[in-house]
Amino acid sequence: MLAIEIEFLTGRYAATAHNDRGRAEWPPHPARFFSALVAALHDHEDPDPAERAALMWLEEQGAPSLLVDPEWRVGKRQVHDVYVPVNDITLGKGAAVSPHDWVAEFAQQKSKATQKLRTAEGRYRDELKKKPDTEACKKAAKEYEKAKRSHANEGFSDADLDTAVALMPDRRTRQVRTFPVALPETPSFTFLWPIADASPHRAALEQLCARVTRLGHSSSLVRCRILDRTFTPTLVPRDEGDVVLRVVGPGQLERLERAFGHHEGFRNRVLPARPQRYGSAFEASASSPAAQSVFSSDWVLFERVGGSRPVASRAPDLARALRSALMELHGNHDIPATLSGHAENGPTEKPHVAFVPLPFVGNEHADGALMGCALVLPRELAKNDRELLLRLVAKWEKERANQRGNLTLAGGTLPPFMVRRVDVSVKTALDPTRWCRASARFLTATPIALDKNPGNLRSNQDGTARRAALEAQQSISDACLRVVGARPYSVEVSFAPLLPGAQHVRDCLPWPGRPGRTPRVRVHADIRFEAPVGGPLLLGAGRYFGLGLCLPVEDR
Amino acid sequence: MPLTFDQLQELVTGDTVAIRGRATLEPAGGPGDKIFPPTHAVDDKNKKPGAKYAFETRRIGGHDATCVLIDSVQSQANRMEEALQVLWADKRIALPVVSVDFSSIAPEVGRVTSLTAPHRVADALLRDSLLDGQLFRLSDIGKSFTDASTRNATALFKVCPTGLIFGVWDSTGPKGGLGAKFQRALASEIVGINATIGSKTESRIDPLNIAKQSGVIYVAEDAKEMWTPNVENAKRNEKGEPIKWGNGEKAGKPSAVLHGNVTPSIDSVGGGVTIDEATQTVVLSLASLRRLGFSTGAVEARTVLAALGLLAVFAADSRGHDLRSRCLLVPKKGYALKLEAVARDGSTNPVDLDLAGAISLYNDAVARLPDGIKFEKPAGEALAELKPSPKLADLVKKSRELAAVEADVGDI
Repeated sequence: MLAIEIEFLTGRYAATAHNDRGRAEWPPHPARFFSALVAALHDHEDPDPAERAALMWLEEQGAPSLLVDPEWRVGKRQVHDVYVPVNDITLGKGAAVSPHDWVAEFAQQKSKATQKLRTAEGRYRDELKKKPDTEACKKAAKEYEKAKRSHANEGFSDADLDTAVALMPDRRTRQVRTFPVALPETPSFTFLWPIADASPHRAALEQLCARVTRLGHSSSLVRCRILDRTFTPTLVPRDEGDVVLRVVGPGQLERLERAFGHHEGFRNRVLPARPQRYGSAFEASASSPAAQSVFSSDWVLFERVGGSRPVASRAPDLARALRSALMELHGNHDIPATLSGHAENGPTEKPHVAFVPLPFVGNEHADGALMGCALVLPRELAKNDRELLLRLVAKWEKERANQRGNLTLAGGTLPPFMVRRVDVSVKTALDPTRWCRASARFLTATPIALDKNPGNLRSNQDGTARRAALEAQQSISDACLRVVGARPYSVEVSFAPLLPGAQHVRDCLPWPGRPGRTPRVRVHADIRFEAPVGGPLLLGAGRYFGLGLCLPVEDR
Repeated sequence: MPLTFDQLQELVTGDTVAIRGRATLEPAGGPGDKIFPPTHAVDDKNKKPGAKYAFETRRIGGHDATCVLIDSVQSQANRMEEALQVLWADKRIALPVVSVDFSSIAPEVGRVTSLTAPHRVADALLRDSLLDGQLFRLSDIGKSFTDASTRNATALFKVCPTGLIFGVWDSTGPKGGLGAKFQRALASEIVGINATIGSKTESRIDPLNIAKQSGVIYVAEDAKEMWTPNVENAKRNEKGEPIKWGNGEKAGKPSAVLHGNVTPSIDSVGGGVTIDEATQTVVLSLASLRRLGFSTGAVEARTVLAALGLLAVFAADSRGHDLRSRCLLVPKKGYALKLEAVARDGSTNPVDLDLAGAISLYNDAVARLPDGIKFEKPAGEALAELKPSPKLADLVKKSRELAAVEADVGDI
C-alpha cells in the first residue's frame, strides 16, 4: 500500500479545471500531482536515478483512490476577471540613446515637425485659394491636421506616447486572468494505491514528496508526505462513476520530459493524461457489469481543429475518409484483417477496428456537430495488431501532418476536415468514458443500419408497419447480442432522433451508398437492458463506420 | 522565547515544511461596521447586489458561510514589498534595491524600485532605463541575473532577493520566455467571514443651488479661464459655432463643470459589506527555499531569505491594514498575528516573533553571508541608481502636458 498525504498550507487549492477556465478543479487530479513530482525530480541538473526509477514505478501503478472532501463540503470562490499588469511594453532601441545624443535628436525631431507643419499649412492654404471642397483640398486639410497634431506632440509618434504612458506603473496595460479557488472543509487529502508495494522506492519517493511545494497555482503552497497508516478512501476508480479525473499511465515520465523539450516551461501546453472515471467508494453497485462490449474503451482520439463542420448525418463519410487515410498509408500489401475488416474470402467474423466520428449530442445545447473522431479498438485485439495500428497512426502523423501537427481528412462529398490526435480532450463528445460507461439504457446518436430489411416501416396499412417495427426491434436485439452478449428487454425504434443534436434518419445519406449495394434501412432506437451493460455500444451494419453509435443515458 | 538565529537556521536546514501565520482582524470602526473589499469589473447585464466583490462559500464549523476576499495574494505581496522598502529607506535593513527616479518628470510616480515595479527587477520600466549610460540589462548588474535559475539563484539573490520570496519571471528580458522564473515562497490572503452585502448612497446638494437649466457652459477662448457661461467669450470651431464644454449628453450642462445637484441614488452592486471578522493567513514555504540552489553560501542565503520573508510579514503588519478607502482593519484583541512552524507530519509548534525580533534576525543573517554572496551596499543605499532614458523622460513629459490640456474638469 502506498499513501501520499497533501495538506493545503493556505487552506485553499488554487487550480483551474482543465476543461473550463472559469471553474476551480476539485478534487485534485492525480495527473497534476505526478507532474509536480516530475518537477521535483528535475530540481537538480542530473536527476537522481533512484528518484527517477521511483517515478517510473509509480506511473505503472494505475489510478489511485482518494480520501478527499466531496463536492458538497468544498466551498468555491466566485471567479472574477483580474487585471494583471503586462511586462512586454518597451520603447525598444530608442530607450538606449545617451542624454547628449538625445538632445540633438530631439531638437532635430522638433524642427522636422515644425517644418512639416509649415509645408502642410502652405499646401492647404494653396488648395483653399484654388478651389475649396475638392478631393485635393480635403486631402490637404487632412495632412494639415496630421501635421498640427505631430507638431503638438513635438514630433513624437502616437505609438511612442502611448508606450511611455503604459510603461508607468500606475498606467500599465493590463491583461485579464482568472484565479479559480476551491476551499475544502478539510484542508488535506490523500492519494492511495492499495495494492502497490512501494518498499524498494520508499526512500526516493519520500525525498521527492519533500520537494513538492505547491499543487496548482504557485500560491497553492502544500505539504506532502508518505503516510504509513491505512485508511478507507472515499473516491475510487469506477467505470460508472460520474467524476472524471486525469490520471497517468506507463510512459508518462518520458512523455512529460519530451514535451518539456518543446514548451520549455513557458509555451502553451496541455497535460498529457488519460481520463478515469471515479465514483463514491460506498455505492452499492460496486461490481463491474457482466456484459461488456466487444469494443474496448481503448481509443485513439482525433479532435477537430479546423475545416468543415459536418453534423452527425455525415458520419459515415468522415469514417470512410479516416479509414482511407490509414489504408492508403499502409499500402496494399498485408493489411491485417483487424484493420481492414476483410479476410481472404470476404468480411471477417471477428470484430475489427471501428472508425467512429463523435458528434456532440445529448446536452441541452447539442447541435450534432462532429467534434472529432476515434479509432475504437476491439477488446480482444492482439498485441502486435495494436502496435501495428499505433505505428500506422504515428506514421500518418509524421508524414501527413502540416507544420502545426494537424491532419486533413477529405474525400468523396466530404469537404476537408482537419484534426489533431489528442490524449485527452476538453470536449464532452470526445471523452471515451462518456460513451463507454456502463448503463442499462442507450439512445442512438447516429441511426442503426439494420442488417436485414424489416419491411415497410412507413406503410399506411397498420399491420405492415407494425410487423416491420417488430422485425426491426428483433434485428437490433440480435445486434446487441452480437456486440455485448446480452439481449435488451425493450427496443423502441423511430425515424426521428431521440437525443438532442442527433439527426433525423431522412437527413442521413444512404448507407452503404455504393453502386450495386442495397441501401440499408436505418432507424434510431431506445434500448433498455435489465442489467447495466458496458459500452461502447456500436450496433448494426454500419457500426465500423460510425452508424449505430449509442449514448449511455440515465434510466428514469 | 523569541526565535533566535540558531533556531531559525535549524528550521531552514531541517525538515520543517513551512512557517504559517494567522491573525484575526476586524473593521476599525468595530465589529459590524461596513468595509469595502476590492472590486472587479461587472457585466452591465449582471448588476446583482454585491456583484463587484469576490464572494466565496467556505465550510466553517460544518456549515456553509458566505465570505468575501478582502485582499488577494498579489495585493498582499505588493504591500509587503512596500513595507520592506520603507524599512530599507529608513536605513534599518540592508537590501539590494534597483531604483529609477522619475520625480523630476512625473512627481506622482516618484521613485520606482525593484520592490515596487509591477514585475520586480524584471520590469519593463527598469529594462528601458539606463545605468551609467547603458540600458540596464546590458550593464554588469543587469546581465548578472539573466541566467539565474532555481538551480543557481546566486546572481538574483544579490540583485533582488525579494524576487526569490515573492516570485519573478524575466519573461521579456534577453532570454524571452526562457528567462529566469521563480515561484513565490510566501503567500498571504485576507478573507472576511460571514459577509452580508450592503449598499451605499451617492448624492450632492449644491450649496449654490445651481439649476440644470441655468445656462450653457462653453469652452473659453482664453485657455486660462477654461470655461465660460458667456457665449461671446466662447472658443469657436471651424464653422464658427461656439464649442460647449463636455462631451455627449453632458455637453454644455453645469454638471460638466461639477456644479449642480446629483440625484440621490442607491448603489448595491458596490455598496460594501459587513463582516463578523476577517482572517489573514500567511504561509512561508521553507521547503520552497530549500529547493533553491546557490553556488556558494547556500545555507546562509536560505536563512536570509527565510528571515526576509518573516520580516516582510511583520513589516506589513506593523503598518496596519489600511487596505483602501473605507477598508481599514485592525487586529482583534488577543488575536494579533501568531506564527507556527509546520512539521513534515503536519504537527505545529508555536514560533514567537515580533517586528523588532524579525529585524534583528534579518540583520544577523545578512551579516553572516559569506564572500561571493554578500550584499554590496549598506542600508538605505540602492544597489543601482538608474536614470530614466532621456527619450522616455521627454515622452512622459509630453504625454502629461497633452493629458492636462485634453482633460475635462468634470471628466468623471
